Amino acid sequence: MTEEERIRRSLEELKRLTGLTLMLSPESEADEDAEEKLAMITAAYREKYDRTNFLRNLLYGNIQEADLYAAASRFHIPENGRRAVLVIECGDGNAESAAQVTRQLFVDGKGSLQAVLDERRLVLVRTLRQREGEEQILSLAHTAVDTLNSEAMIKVRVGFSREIRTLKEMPKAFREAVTALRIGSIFYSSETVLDYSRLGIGRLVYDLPVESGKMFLRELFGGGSPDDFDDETKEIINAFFENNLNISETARQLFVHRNTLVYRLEKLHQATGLDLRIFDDAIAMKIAMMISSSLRADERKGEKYR
Amino acid sequence: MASLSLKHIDKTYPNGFKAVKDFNLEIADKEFIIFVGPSGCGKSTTLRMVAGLEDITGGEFMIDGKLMNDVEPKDRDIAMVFQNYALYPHMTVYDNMAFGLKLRKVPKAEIDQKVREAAKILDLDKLLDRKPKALSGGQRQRVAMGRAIVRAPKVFLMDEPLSNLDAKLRVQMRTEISKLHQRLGATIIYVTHDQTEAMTLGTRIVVMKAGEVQQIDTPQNLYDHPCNQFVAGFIGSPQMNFMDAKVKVNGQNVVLTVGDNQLDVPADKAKAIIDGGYDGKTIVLGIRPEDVHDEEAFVKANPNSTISAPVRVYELLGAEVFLYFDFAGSQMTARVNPRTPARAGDTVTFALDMEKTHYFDKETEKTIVD
Repeated sequence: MTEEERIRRSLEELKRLTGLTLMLSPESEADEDAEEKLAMITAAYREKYDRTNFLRNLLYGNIQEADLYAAASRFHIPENGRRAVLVIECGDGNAESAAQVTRQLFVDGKGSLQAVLDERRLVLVRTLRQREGEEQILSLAHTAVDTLNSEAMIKVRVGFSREIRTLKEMPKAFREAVTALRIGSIFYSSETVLDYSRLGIGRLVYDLPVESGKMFLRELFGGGSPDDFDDETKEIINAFFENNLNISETARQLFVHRNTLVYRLEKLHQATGLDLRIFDDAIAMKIAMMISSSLRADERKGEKYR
Repeated sequence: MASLSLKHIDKTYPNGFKAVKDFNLEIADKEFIIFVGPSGCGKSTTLRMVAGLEDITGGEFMIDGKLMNDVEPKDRDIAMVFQNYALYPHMTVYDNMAFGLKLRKVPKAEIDQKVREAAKILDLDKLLDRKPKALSGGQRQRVAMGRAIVRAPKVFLMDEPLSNLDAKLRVQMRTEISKLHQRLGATIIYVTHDQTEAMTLGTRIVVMKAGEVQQIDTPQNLYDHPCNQFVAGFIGSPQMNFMDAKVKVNGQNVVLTVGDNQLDVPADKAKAIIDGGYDGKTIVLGIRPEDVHDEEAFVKANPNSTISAPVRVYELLGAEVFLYFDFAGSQMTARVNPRTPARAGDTVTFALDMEKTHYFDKETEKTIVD
């Protein structure tokens, strides 16, 4: 193969990757470095426009809407379609191992896109079939958790977004999935699958402006917070809520006499002004405890996430 | 295989929720242990702590005497089968079973040997080249089991592995799992909310409620001697009948008043009620549906334990009939012979087999005597 033929082939490859048409001028002499330069440009484009990179950039909102559809069509990704974004959070930097399993489980090119985002997270974009909806996404998320637990033996949690219909909604869907994981870690730490559309009262508390939350705590506890309670008091409050404010059942579970429990609830009433046997006071305490957890999570993260 | 020890295990989540409280259990080598209880009782959380998928907040968990609290799941020598299993759709049965070992970089020859051995145990050896879509539901489930078996673990952990199957297949797979336990001689911990599955599979059953162990015993003992009203109601289908009964002690005899009826308590059970100081108090009387009789001969022979009520529902199941009726404010079920003449709407006289009755403290729900 002559130098000219090699350059012509490199130009074809560049066109295939980028859509750019470069011509070899008939009067120009074949530059001996040209082939090398073209190879470098091709490699750079391949890296920039590799399907995984494209997906990452799309999720992080790094692709302009004007460029989005041309780039998507280059990767044969349809512009429209019902999709959901699932973010899989893995313990101990196991995202690569998890991806080895999910790539086989949710095969690429058949309605799903996948990318490892960092050491702890991978993302799965699932195209929904005609009759698929939230239930199927939920089931998919549980399948991902159970399969990763049993096959790769790693701890995982999955957060997923609401359904979207266009590619430009992808960054929003990604944020929803990440938010679901975040809210789950604060309020629903026993859950391994978090659905953005079912975050309940946790979402309300999470969305509350920090200042409003602090003001609510000040109203109830002056300068204090539910974090100041000793462990025994916290245990009583949690058990009382878990048992739907049922004194007998709570006393039985805590192995204390009913009267002892009543006495401790009275003491708490005196200290805080909240009588947990009264519904309004109980809900105020519950919300205060959730706000407190949220603020604590904020501090742990060391940043304002709102 | 292995023995496991769980001592004072607690699980508290960062939001303060206590999922498991002071769980204690010694599991002997080759035991088939079942964790059973209603949803949210902490059975799966306990299993996940054994697997290493949940951190243990307090207590000690040991396998063969070695502390495992902080050991990674992959280093615990366990294998898991979960409810939402999925097979790799484009892989053959062989590759599906081999994939986990490939991830662990097990040598090819060893993988081949293990996969073929597991396939033989599971009767999958003729299906190794098939793809999942060409398998029946039961065969797919067996492949999922095969993925665990090839690991040759010390302990198998199964979390409701049959709950996604239809009723017929579930019964079939239950038998398969039981056979598998005998063939492998494995230590198995199995989580289910289905008490029939628990009774048929387990060598011992751990009944849980609200994060607490209620009773640990053999299936027969749980059925015959439940330690409290919860266990008595949870184990057995249809569940045990319960009714409030006012106690009257006459010397060594105890008579119970249930509604307008007087029932004589057998002497051995009467003693425990008297010793417990229940004279004049209300206790809970429990009786299983099969111990409520409508046969004429039994009713005649037990005139001091009869009750009458109109039958609300007649349910023929082929080999037996369930008669549902209301009595003294409780919904009752009698499991009777299919030749019974009783039908819905008939007022029927039933006799309770008082030797089979159970008595519970109304306040603590603990068993007084059974």
